Amino acid sequence: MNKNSNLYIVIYSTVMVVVVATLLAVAALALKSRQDANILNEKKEAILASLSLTGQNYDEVIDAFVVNEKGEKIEGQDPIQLLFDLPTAFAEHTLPVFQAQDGRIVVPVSGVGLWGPMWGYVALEKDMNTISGIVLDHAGETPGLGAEVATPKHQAMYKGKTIFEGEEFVSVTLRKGGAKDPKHEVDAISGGTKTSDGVTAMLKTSLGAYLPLLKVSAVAPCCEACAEATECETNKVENNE
Amino acid sequence: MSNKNLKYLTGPFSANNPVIVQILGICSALAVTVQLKPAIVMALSVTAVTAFANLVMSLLRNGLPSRIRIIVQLVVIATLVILVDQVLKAFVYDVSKQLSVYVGLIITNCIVMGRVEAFALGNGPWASFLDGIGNGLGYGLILVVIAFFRELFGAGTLYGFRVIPESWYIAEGGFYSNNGLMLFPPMALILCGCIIWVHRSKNKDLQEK
Amino acid sequence: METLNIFIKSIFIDNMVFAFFFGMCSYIAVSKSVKTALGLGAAVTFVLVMTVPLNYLLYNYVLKADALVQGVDLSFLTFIIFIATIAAFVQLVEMIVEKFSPSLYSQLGIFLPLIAVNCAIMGASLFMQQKVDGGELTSVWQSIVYGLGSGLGWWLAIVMMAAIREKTTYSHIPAALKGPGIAFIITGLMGIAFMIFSGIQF
Repeated sequence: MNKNSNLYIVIYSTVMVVVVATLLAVAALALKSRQDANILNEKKEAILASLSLTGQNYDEVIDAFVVNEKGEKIEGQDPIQLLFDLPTAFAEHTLPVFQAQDGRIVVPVSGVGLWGPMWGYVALEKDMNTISGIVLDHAGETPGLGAEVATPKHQAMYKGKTIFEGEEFVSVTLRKGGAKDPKHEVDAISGGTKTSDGVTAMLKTSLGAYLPLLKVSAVAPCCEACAEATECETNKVENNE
Repeated sequence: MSNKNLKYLTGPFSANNPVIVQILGICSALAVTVQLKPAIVMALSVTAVTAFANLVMSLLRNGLPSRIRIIVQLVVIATLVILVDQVLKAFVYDVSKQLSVYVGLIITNCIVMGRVEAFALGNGPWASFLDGIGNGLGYGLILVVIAFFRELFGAGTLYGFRVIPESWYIAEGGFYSNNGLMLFPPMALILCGCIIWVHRSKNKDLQEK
Repeated sequence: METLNIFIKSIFIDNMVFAFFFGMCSYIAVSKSVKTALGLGAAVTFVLVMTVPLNYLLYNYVLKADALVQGVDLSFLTFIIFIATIAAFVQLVEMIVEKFSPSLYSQLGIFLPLIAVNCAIMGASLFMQQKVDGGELTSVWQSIVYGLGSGLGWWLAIVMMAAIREKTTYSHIPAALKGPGIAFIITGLMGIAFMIFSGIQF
């Protein structure tokens, strides 16, 4: 048959398309479950990293649930799946919470930086006030400037900061020119003012959404030293008296 | 392996290097040279795609209608790249995130297309396969050299392992500080320019009049 | 304002050449004279303005998970569909220009086949996909603006480069650096100059 006849070209392309399509569909289907597991795993790793529990088994140490805007548990939502679209989750008041075995909790935060979305995970101590760790990430902040929020060096500064002043919620602020208040402020990124302001706003609004939950589950600060949860309970009662 | 075949394999390492002599495939490459690890994965991916694209096209070359030659080449290359991308996403997810869109850009990497056009359509499958591997590795060699300098001077690590001791840094009371500029894209270009400079000083026949 | 931001960012900060090395092969090869650089830049910008929104529509309404049929994820076909769109579009433009404006064809025509394998075109579409997934691009309109900005950024870069290279004809460059060597180093220095734009916002 003539190699340049239309019939030959049509047959050639048809065979080619069928072969290619089959090959790709088989490969995509075969590898899909592994790929999805990887994406899920990345979220789980970030949650564990904020708790400084990297390397542990997520399913063993984390108990995830969803609360509404009043801090009450609600059923029927998968906490991990909500992480894939946090802005919607916040708008619909379906707030995922990840609780570690030792009583610390991790809440996701979501906001906007200079160029695009930012998100992260904030781990709080049992008093629901002290930050135990934080993981921040971004879609497209400027490398070397705004993108510094995603570095361990920047994130280490949040550890030990508190989000309440007495009873009042103050969140944590990124201050340009260096932190002045050792309890509620960290250094802003030099050259990344807009990104820093974005992080400040993100922490304030996202953590603010969890306020009712934080107030309910806060354990009195005196109990931090307690080894047993039961002792805490008794101490709490005594304090109230 | 015969001498001729050996030449197909080793020619692209220096005298006929795709990046610094043929000036091909720079597009998708330099951005992945901030660290060694993504550079090596990228080099291996390109080698695999070039080798198999050459092999497949060499096998198809006798039945190939010349009117749809280019589109058939694109389809074969794109298919191979998708396979590589799927495998990377499934097995080395963190690296595939670092490479981001650059995996997809292997499709338009001029090395792949260039080798298929210039070599595979006129040579047998085995020679084409070797030519593909040679060009992929020649390309990878440049990536690795650039990534070596950028990671070493930019971050003080190699393949993620610390090479320059922590105690040397100013923050720890030492005298040393990383050169942050190394991590920015322009330094990849300047380093590549310097490699060409050194290479052409040694190979005078490549110099432009 | 967000749309203006996308525009400014894609020209100056995320410049195709200086930030991502896209289209380097033709950038180095065709930047020897300002006239040809202008021609190729115009062709690239035109193709980008057309193919980015085209691929945006394809990605959003056909390829994305659940876009075509609930539960079907065709995103693994993204690469092949994007390159096919680009190749077909370039072919189409070539045929139309050849038929209706032979004078334009003689000026622009030689660049068109080069464009299908110009990574700037494919790169812009792939970045568009990433930005859609990341929520940065939300409408066809914004994808057109992104395509236009990327094209203008590339155009600007290649014309500036050609102007500098015309001047370097009179410089005493070491023999081994002549040609691509010095071109890379100039591009690197231009990239450093472009870094002053990072962080600006409107």
